[in-house]
Amino acid sequence: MEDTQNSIYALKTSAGQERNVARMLAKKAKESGLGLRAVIVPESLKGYVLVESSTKIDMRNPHMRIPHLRGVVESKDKKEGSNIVSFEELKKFLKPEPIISSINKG
Amino acid sequence: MSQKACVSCKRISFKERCSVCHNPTSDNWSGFLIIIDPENSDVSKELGIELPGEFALRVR
Ligand SMILES: [Zn+2]
Repeated sequence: MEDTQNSIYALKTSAGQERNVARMLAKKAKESGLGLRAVIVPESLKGYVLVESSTKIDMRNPHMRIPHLRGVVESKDKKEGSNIVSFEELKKFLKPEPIISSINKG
Repeated sequence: MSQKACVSCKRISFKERCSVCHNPTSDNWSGFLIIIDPENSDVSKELGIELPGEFALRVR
C-alpha cells in the first residue's frame, strides 16, 4: 500500500452540532482546496469531530470560519505534530463494538 | 422523514433501498462519516469505501 501524508485532527464543536459542522467542512473542502479527505463524527465523542487531512489544520484560514466550529484541539506540549490523533486511535471509532449483542437476529 | 443507513455499505439516504448497492436500509444507525476524497483517504481504504458521500459508522 502506498504511503499517504494524511493526519487526523480533532476539532472542537458546540455540543449537538457535530454533524452540521461535518457537513459544512465537507462543503468547504470542495470549494476551497483544503486537503480534507474525510470527516468522522463518532457517537461517543460529544462536542468533537475528527478530520483526515493532507494539510495542517489552520484556524486562521477563512474557510475554517464555520458556525459552531470552535477550534482545533492543541496538545499541551508544543512539539510539531503533537496535536495529531494516531490512525490506530481513530480505528477504535471507525469500527465500534456493538453496545448490546443482538441475540435475536430477526 | 428520517435518514436511513444501508445495512450493507452503511451509506446514508432517505430511501428504503440503497441507491448504490440496492440492499435494504435501516433507521437504527449511529456514528457519522463523510468521505470527501476516497482515492486519497486512509479512512476510505480502512473501511473499503470507494465512493464519496455520507455514511453511518454502525448500522443494526
Ligand atoms: Zn448500500
